Amino acid sequence: MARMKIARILLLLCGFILLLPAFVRAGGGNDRVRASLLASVSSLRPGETFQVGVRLKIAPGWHIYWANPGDSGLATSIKLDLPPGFFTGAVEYPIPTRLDSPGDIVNYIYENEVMLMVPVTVPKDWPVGSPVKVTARVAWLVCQDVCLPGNATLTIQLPTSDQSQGSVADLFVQWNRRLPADADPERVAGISEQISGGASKNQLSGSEQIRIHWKVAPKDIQWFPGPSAGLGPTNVRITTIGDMTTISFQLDQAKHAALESVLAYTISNGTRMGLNIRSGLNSRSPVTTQPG
Amino acid sequence: MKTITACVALLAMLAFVMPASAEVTGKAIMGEPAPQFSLQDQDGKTVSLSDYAGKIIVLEWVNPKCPFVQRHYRAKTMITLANDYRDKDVVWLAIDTRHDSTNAENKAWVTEHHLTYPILNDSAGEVGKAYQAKTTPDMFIIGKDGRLLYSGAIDNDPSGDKTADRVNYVRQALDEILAGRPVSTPRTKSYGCGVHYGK
Repeated sequence: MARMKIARILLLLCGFILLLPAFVRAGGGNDRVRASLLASVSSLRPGETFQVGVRLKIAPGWHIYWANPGDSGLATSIKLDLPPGFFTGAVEYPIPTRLDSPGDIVNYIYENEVMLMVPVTVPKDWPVGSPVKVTARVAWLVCQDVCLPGNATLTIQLPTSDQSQGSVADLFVQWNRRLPADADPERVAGISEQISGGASKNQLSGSEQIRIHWKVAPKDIQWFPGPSAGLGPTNVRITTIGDMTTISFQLDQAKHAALESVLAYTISNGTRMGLNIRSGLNSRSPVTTQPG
Repeated sequence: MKTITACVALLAMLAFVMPASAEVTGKAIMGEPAPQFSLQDQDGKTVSLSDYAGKIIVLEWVNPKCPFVQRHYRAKTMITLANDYRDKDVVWLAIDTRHDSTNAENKAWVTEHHLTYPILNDSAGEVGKAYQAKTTPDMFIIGKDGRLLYSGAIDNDPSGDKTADRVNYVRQALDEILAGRPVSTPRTKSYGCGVHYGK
């Protein structure tokens, strides 16, 4: 009987510990992800564009999120602090993978490791050899069964005499290869688009179809819609018949603007490729064609 | 006779193992009558949507272990709304669709945060699926005539770092409904942890 009482007390204690506010366990999200900051150059040249890389190592079994996290989660974000005159481009996200969970919940994620990159342009009048401190504020949500927010503030100094610059260069080559490309003329013959508006009883909705005409259809074709201000595409369907992949979806017409998306596919040598697609463009014309 | 006994025994066992049915009708469609349901709250009391017919009802999908939910409960987002609108005939119901949630845990959450609304146990996931709840939090507002008037995020601030430009969509919608105006933003993309449906 005493053992039952102890067991019950332990269970109660466990319950209380689990319910402690999150700030007590704030380290959780920082324990599961190791972040480091890298630069694709060791010294700066005026007017040159280089890349800053945020390398994220994720604990096995856990994941962080792409630019569009999907139905839940939170996009991994980077904010760079640089001296005035430096121009920072948009974060470059390597091709994500898709996670399907019960309840039709779809997420776009990274597992194990990813390096996000940011293009940085040095001012034309930057004094050669002048040192610069780059600060990156990175935030993520790392999830398994539970989700834990995490963040890191990282700095590097340039120029650097870091001895490991060779392996750093390899990392930039590797992760730049995993960025989606703006075109794939070897495999894509063309991309066409069809938009039709419609009004149902309760709301205005537009239907869109993006068609990818392949020279040779690849395998494992997946479509990743990018972040959007409104609801994003719904009722998404992808079918590949012969040398044509059709992506059809509905988009809230009131917020109809250019939708950026990534088409991911595996080519004959097993390499995973990605293609940036820009669609919508506020156009009501039936077909817009862009070369592959 | 033996087969019948075995069948009855098996069925009896299944009834014991399966979570109690939520008796859900329909699917949630904007502007249409919202799905009816009956669920048990953290004290084991049965709560039905039909108990509140004629009132404005806010449904809040909750998970005490989710950092988005924890952030909002630290900021008292939901309890403030529930209390601000109680005397305007607005009923607040929290729903926990985690397949492994327990009434005991939810009872402790209600006590810790001094909640004036119940947490309903939807561990079978039927109500979540009828409303297509995907995140915690995920918010739904049902009008006095039982129609779905809002579905989506609690506000426009997933990271919790907006200051001047933060919009609480639920407060905005409730004000519009009470003023007899149409909801200007009836549908937004919700944010939060994924709802933990069972396999």
